[in-house]
Amino acid sequence: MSELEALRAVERRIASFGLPGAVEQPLELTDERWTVVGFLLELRSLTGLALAAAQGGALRISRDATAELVERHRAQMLHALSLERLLLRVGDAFGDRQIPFVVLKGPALAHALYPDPSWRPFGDLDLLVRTPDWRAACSVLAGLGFRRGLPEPVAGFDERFGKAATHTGPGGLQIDLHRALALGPFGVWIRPEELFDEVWELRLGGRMFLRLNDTALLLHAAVHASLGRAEPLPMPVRDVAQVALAGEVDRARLADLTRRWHLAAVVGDAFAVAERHLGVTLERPLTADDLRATARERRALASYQASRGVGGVPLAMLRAVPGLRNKSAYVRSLVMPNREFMAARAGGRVSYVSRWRIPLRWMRHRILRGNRLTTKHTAR
Amino acid sequence: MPDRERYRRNEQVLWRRTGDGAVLARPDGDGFERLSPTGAAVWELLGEPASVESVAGELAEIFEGKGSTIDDDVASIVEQLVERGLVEPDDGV
Repeated sequence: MSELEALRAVERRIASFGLPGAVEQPLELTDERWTVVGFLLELRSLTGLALAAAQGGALRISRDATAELVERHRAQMLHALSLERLLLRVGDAFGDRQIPFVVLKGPALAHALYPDPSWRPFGDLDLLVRTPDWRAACSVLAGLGFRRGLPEPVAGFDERFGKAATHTGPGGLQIDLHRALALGPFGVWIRPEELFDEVWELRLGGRMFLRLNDTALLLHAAVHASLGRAEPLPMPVRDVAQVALAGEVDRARLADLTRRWHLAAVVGDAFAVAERHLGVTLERPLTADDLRATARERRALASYQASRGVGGVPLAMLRAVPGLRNKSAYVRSLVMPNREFMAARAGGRVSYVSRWRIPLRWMRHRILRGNRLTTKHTAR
Repeated sequence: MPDRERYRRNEQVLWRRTGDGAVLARPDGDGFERLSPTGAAVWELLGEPASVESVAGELAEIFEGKGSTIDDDVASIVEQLVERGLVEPDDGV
């Protein structure tokens, strides 16, 4: 086992802590090993689970390592509290402008699905607004001193094709403002306008917010784990297992949304990855029939995984965007983004050559591998 | 501080367990409050309205301590939490 594989095995063991069927034999780490693992656990937002594992006897580390883990965990908790305090402030500002929003991921999962919110640190806030409220929401954040990281590539891109934009506040805290749950084809198929029908209340700091209900939360967790990165991170994978285990999922509704939002391949993949990474068996809330994906859905999933680095997602998006006029607008935005977008993306330099690097790599890839976009699944 | 008066957490205060106590954040502040393991235990028990006497009784059971010492400690902790606006008297509403 390589060093990288060994570290992955450790983070997956920690990520599985507390799940029924997870390995019960304690994980023992020397101080020498801990120097790398401690850093990794903080990087992966796993300090809460690691601390709970150490307190429960599932993780055996020295007294010094435990003290260091407590320090790392405290830093993560202070960050989470800063973000929740920011949420109260932003909630007031959106409320003043009558902009409804849904709290996604971190705070929603931490408070609603985990046995203790300290098990689920998070690094930023993810807030979903309705597409018609997008501009107003961006201007509210600007009014609070937030700056958007990457401008839209062409005017109107956000509302037509965008998923989210990262905004950084004066203190460095970040808000990902969403209008959709995913980039690419699944962002089109998971109908943003329907997400506000799938909400429950989230009580935080004496105030009431909206979060996705457990059924939609399970789908979002699956989307994040399966489509977020070519190599899924342990916390999003744990989220899938956590919502499946602790959520009040409406199976009929889940089956309906999975079918209508074309998520059968994604949900199937997320459950398979969760079981493989965490070493547990999850009860499937969907039948084999519900999880039977079409070739189109499987191809779309592969675009986020096997062909992610060679322009797979934009190509799959192009196929999914309805109508010739929309397709043409999408291509224009990819081929000729504005100078502000290119400068922000390239760190100040405006270069159409570097903008074309990915399409050129994709063309080279196709020529070398034959005239067919690969849909091969790699073991993840 | 009257022993029989009931107290509860200020529900606007955000908080987390840290492994060696807890950290608390007021919604309108910038800083944080750090609670020791005993302070955190008191804080947790005030999730439901409770008197100093009943909190001390529960802690005495958990830590198998002597009643009068724990009573004094809990009274002092609750007083500090009230002073800082983290805990408030329960008016029964």
